[in-house]
Amino acid sequence: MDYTSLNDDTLLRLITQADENALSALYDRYSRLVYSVSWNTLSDAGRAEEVTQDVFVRVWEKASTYSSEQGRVATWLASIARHRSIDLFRQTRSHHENMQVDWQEVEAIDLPDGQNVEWEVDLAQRQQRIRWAVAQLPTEQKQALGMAFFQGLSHPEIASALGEPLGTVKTRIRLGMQKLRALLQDEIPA
Amino acid sequence: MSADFENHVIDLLPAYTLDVLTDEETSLVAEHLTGCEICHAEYQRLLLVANELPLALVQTAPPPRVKENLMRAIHARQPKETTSTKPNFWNNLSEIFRMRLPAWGLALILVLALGNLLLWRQYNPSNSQTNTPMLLIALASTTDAPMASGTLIMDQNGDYGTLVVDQLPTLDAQHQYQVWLNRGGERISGGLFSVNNEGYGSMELLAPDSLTQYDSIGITIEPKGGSLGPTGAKVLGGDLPN
Repeated sequence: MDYTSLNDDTLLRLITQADENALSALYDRYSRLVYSVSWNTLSDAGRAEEVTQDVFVRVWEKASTYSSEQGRVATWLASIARHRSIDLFRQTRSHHENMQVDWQEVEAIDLPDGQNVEWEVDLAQRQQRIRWAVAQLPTEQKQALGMAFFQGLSHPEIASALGEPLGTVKTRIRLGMQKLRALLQDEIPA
Repeated sequence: MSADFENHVIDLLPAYTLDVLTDEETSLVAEHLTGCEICHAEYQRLLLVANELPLALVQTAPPPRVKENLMRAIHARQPKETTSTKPNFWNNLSEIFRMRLPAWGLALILVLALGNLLLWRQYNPSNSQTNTPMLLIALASTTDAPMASGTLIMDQNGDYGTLVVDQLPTLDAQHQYQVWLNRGGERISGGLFSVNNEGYGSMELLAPDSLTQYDSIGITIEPKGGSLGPTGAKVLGGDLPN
């Protein structure tokens, strides 16, 4: 069986049947996403590796609890990685001073060609849309959004880390999210 | 902003979506969302945007050892059995035993399960040889509570149902979890509950009709005392057998 051609739902179904090859394929598909989320939260390669393994062990154990109601598989995996990473980050935040998130430059996107299967095309298009939208934001808005979303920092914590007034940080986050929402309106399927 | 929007919380919704508001502000927004379709719709749109943010990161591959360790770890585990939307009672009871539940939680499950079994047999003597008098239905977690798990234990007639949840986020004093039973687009409250510091909780469902008369079950975060309809983030859900 060519697992790389199977869609995410099929892989998860096979994982519920203890198919290790399906988990391997899902890992190859999304480990970069999961690791990147963890890395941007923790700034610690060892802990990011730990979270990445934890996320896929959880998939192995809990694949049956996934339903398409809760969003796409990539969203589900990223959400697990983010929450797990923020928990770890909060335990050790005093050791981290990273205030930058590694947003992908929009020019670096590899567009799918005719050889790609459906899931690859869908994922590439979603990446293209959100990277394009994020690229439209001013640097300071991207920075504030990254610290809030990936590191779970509150408004006052971000203001303190950046040495900016609280109101400024609030405005950056509000305007950043509102602009992304406006740019992506009618683009992101529910 | 027009006068119509003066009392809305539109400006707070981006930060609410990212969970960076203070507890007081969070409560204010959550309460407002209870009765405001405009703000709730905007919140849903912002949530979709937030869910896409991880895709905008530079993606770096983890070292090969991570996959090697992962595959070794899962290979060492016992093979899992196939699950379905109507899982086998005893298999799923075993699954619950493997869950990280407090002792009193397990005891509660057993007491309720056996109680319902006896009750079911009392009223259905012709079927007393059936091996699966009750159903255990695994609920799916959502992106708002990805670590959560939940199980609904119900008798086959749907007359009794007990919900057991684990690893749900602990809520502040102004919020509770509310159960919704959905039938043809109509949502009926099945009761309110809270969880302990470990995210564990259980409750007996309250439903005017048999649980088999409903299509699905969902659990959302609502202001303390409950809402007339779901307004907050959904944390667990699943289909009901009918």
